Amino acid sequence: MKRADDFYDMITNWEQDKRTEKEIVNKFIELLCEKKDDIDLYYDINDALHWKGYSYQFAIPEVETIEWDSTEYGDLVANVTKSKDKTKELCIYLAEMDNNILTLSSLHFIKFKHLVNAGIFKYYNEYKPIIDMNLYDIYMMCYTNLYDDVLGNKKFIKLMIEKFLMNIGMRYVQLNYMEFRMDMEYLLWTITKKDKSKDAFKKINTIKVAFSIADKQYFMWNDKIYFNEDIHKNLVKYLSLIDKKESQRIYDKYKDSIHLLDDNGYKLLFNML
Amino acid sequence: MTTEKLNQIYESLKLHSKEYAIDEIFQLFIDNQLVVSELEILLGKFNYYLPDDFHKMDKSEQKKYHQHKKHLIHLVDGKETIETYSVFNKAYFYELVEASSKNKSITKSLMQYAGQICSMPIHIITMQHVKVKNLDFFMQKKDFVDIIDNQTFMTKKIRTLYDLYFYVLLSSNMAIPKPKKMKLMGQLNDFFKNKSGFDLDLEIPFNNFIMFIEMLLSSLPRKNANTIKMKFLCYKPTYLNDNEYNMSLENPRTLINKHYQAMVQNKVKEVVNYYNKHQDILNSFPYNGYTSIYYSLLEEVKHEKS
Repeated sequence: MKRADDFYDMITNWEQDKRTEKEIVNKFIELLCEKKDDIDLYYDINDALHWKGYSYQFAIPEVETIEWDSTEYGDLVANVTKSKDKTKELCIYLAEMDNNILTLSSLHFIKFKHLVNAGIFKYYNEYKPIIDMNLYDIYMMCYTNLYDDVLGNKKFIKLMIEKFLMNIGMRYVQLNYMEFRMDMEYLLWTITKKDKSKDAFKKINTIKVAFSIADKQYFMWNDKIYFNEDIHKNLVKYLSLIDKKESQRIYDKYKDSIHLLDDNGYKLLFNML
Repeated sequence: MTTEKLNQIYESLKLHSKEYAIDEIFQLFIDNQLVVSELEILLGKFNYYLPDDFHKMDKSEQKKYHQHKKHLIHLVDGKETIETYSVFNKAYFYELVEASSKNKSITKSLMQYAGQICSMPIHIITMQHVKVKNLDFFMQKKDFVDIIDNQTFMTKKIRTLYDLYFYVLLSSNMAIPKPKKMKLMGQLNDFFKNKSGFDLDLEIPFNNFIMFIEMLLSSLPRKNANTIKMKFLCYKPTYLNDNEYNMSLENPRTLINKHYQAMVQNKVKEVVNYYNKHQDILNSFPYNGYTSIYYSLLEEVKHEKS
């Protein structure tokens, strides 16, 4: 954020010199032409221009993205929870894909113990209660006080996991706007606490597809479909599985600020609580 | 800036349209050439007045106040190309709405602005404000003039494009015989797509779906329909004025349950058949609240049947 703040200050100075909007923009064009490989520069300049109320934004140059291959993914996740090496392979794959949604959808395949054995996380005795758990469950437990006795130093564990997530495709997990999304993700996760069946995750995935939180392609691999295609018949039933008390807590947390957040599937889900 | 300079600016702008002049004056403010008091003086010469809270706004909010165009700069090999596009600006939109009330030319501008934004919710809201009497396309056709002068929609006179469209669509065969109805709907669709700058093609499945849900919502009082759309995030909060919807904390699904009978009436079969015919594409639509409204209605149909 610091560079965006610097650009903000630069614009303030130019405004005091009565530079026009286009003159200010031209100065940034010169800067971007000098440093064209710095993609983050575009974001910082756009932030500064937006904060100042100007109508110009720079199009972010396209970075080559790797296309999702469900067959490749299916091979990677088959039996991954049993193998430290396969877990490492999956993490490398997720880092290459650099896809927020894909990584989040894959965390339940990543066992904490494999990350410890691979040397990615250090082991402490206090991790004993969570050693056999998957990363998704542990991370979601960080979004409530209900499991503080299990997690121990929750703040430390959350930071540790987020630092790891930032390297495997969730680059922006620590930004402010992600807190709301992860709180909503946590609410969906509470479905697994009420519904102990094997297809509890299918129900969560169905809700995500219904609200366009995640594209359905991420729930289709190995010739199987991991969400319920009969969305309209089951959506309300699945939503009723969300923990009511936690739902109220999250609702109270955001009810006065929800209008400030970007429109997305998580926000629509919030409005349906 | 001196009074003389301000007068020079006024003289250079007064021969242009009011719309153009206001845009230029705001641009001077954005360009840091005017302070707020000078902005007010110039705008006042064109009978345009800023709201009382303008002075309390942050400088960036003041600059965005009238901003209805955005510019996206593409830099390729050191060369810039600028893509300019219209965006919804509440102040600008409702200025046009008010000015268009008895003015055909500004009505045209309003429809063109909505067409440039290219958003179904904005199309709907615009239709609800455009007065049909300002549209020569309809006022020069006897069939439409007869409807506009003699019929009512939802117990009120047909005043707007929205009223007209849904009156024709929902009329019984007794009120408008089927062949005539098809002709009128064809003319309406032609107007939306080709004859008005509105740029609305109702043959596109997504647009068609939105209008299907609007058809169900049209049977509700406007405020109730708006409240449902706000709750389901069909509209952004800036699209409507505060008195146009109810800000209560009612759960969206409760709202659907409350208004289900009025919305669905004798159209249950149609509501269900729509899903049977369009299931594949429904799930392929981009994120929108209308799909959630529809799924909630289907749930109510299911409960009613069980």
